Amino acid sequence: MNTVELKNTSRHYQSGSLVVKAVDQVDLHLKKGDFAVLAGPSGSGKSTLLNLIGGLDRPTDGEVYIDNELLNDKSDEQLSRERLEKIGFIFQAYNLIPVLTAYENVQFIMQIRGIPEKEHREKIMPLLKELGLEGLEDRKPPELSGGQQQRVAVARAIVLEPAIILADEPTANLDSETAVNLLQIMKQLNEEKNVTFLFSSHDPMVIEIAERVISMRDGKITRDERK
Amino acid sequence: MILFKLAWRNIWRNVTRTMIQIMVIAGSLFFVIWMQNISCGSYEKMIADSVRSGSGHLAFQHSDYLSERRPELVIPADKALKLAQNHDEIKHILPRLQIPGLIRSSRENCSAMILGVDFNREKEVNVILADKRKVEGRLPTELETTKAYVGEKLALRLQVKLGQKIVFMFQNLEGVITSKLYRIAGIFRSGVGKIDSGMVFVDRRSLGKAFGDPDAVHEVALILKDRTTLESIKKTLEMESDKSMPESSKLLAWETTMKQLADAIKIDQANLQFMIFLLYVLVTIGTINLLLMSVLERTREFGLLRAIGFEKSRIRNLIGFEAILVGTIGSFFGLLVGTLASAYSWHYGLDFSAMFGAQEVAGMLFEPTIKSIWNWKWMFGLTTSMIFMVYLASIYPAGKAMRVNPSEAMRSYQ
Ligand SMILES: Nc1ncnc2c1ncn2[C@@H]1O[C@H](COP(=O)(O)OP(=O)(O)OP(=O)(O)O)[C@@H](O)[C@H]1O
Ligand SMILES: [Mg+2]
Repeated sequence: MNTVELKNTSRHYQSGSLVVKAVDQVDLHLKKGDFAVLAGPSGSGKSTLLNLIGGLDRPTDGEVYIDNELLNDKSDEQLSRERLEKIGFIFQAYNLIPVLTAYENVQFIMQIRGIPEKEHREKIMPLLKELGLEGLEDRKPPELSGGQQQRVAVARAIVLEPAIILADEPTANLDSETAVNLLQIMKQLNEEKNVTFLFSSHDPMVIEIAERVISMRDGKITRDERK
Repeated sequence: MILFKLAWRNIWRNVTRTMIQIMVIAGSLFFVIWMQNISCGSYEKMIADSVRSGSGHLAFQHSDYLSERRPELVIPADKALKLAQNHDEIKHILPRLQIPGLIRSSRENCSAMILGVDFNREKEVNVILADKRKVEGRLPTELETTKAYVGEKLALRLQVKLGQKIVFMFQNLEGVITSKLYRIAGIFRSGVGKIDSGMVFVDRRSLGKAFGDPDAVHEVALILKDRTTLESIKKTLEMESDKSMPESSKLLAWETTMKQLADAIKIDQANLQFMIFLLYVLVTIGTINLLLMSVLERTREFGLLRAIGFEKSRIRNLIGFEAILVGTIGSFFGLLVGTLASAYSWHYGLDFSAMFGAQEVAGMLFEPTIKSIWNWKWMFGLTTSMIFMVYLASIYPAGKAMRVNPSEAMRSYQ
């Protein structure tokens, strides 16, 4: 069973008379437990592809499946639900809601999912501990370092055990040591919990850690190799 | 609940902006509540004052007297008195005989209105007969059937002093010119020109006798203990008067006998309501503006919320919640301060004498101190509609927040 499946998927932008093929006729399969990186230069279409998989953006052509469910004909509200239940998003920076504490940011997603209050703590605290955030749970985002913020974002993305976690350059704002550290945490979660990860990066050190490297250029996948 | 918590924290992100918004809402609400309570107090006072010198809350009159004012349109006083005396809700019963005519002194003469009143009843009520409006002399008693109480300007024109004689000439019920002699017992100054230069108070029955019927009056004015009982009292009295009063007599409410005043109040009320409406529109526009600012600043955050699974509708609700919170806090303080201010002006009253030099509105006489009253229905209505308006103001900004395209928001606001 494929967690993610793209069939001939395109996302073209019309800017003036020019058509920008941000993603162009891409076929892609991700299996459960994959730990894959999207590599490629700036403008190659990595973010666009991640947004298509996450249902934040709609393809101009082709199909997108998550857990064998076609996203194309879902309404905006249904896509929101889909994201809430199946997808964890992590972005480059400012991933957290600034008025909520680290704990509340993770709890937030459980609340909107409607998970009973009493289950929150026993789920969140061990996770924060595992991510090295013990003692920081009452801090708000501005009181956390960039790496800590990203780890809170990872905790939030993973707490509901989604089918896939999509991370758009999660380490781009971190120094390389912190970046590698974050990736190792993600890798560990991938191994322990068999969570599927797809993240983008152009940092060779980060790409190094991935088990599968999907290279992009000009909206197309140019190489797809497993180590 | 989570929306509430998020909304609450969001509104305090920009404390200055939220405080300004709360102050604008509170200030406007305070102002309209206070204005409304003061205005209603002033209406109550105008009505209360003018029913005293005018035709009462209710008045028995000949059905044509109001429009024609002919002296022969009289009604029987005793029957009306008996009818009214049976009702506890009626505080004062004032029979009045009003005859236009000519007054002559030894030096001058001029036209005037002679008012035949029962002094012991009238003095408790009529502001013109109040002690503080007396210039000199005293009010005649019931037994002094040849004593007159005259306006200051009239006395001046007639060039008469206390104790001097004046002769009143008028047409009696048969149309024959009659005259009656009076001596001046006292002089008053009401502050209203027309009254001071053309009104004389005398004993009713003796004037009636000269007029041709000691029981004849032009009106029997009734003052109620509580104005709100007017409608029910009017109905009972009308039913009872069907049997005892002549068919030509009619029971009129103050809105009819003092139409000028009733209209003036209506216009003033409409003006105030228009002003309230304008103010609410301004508050709404201001709120739209501030909410729009706060929404546009958070574009990326809405993208983030959408990315982690927040539905569009929840974003709309979030903004709506924020507006309702601010609206409720502002309205709470507005209501609080409005209530305190109203309590002050209810207890101590506000002295408007500096504002209105003349104490005359629509030809009536007023005291310049206005006490506000408690208009709970309006206070509640103004408060809830303020919250509602602020909520309405959130609809457009909420729509904007809702339409944030998540992929673009996340791209362009890194
Ligand atoms: N809304 C848009 N309108 C027009 N062109 C767009 C739009 N969004 C993206 N593009 C274009 O699509 C292409 C792919 O962009 P995308 O952001 O996916 O690249 P990327 O690989 O994520 O780049 P980076 O590494 O810089 O983040 C770029 O050429 C970009 O200019
Ligand atoms: Mg990108």
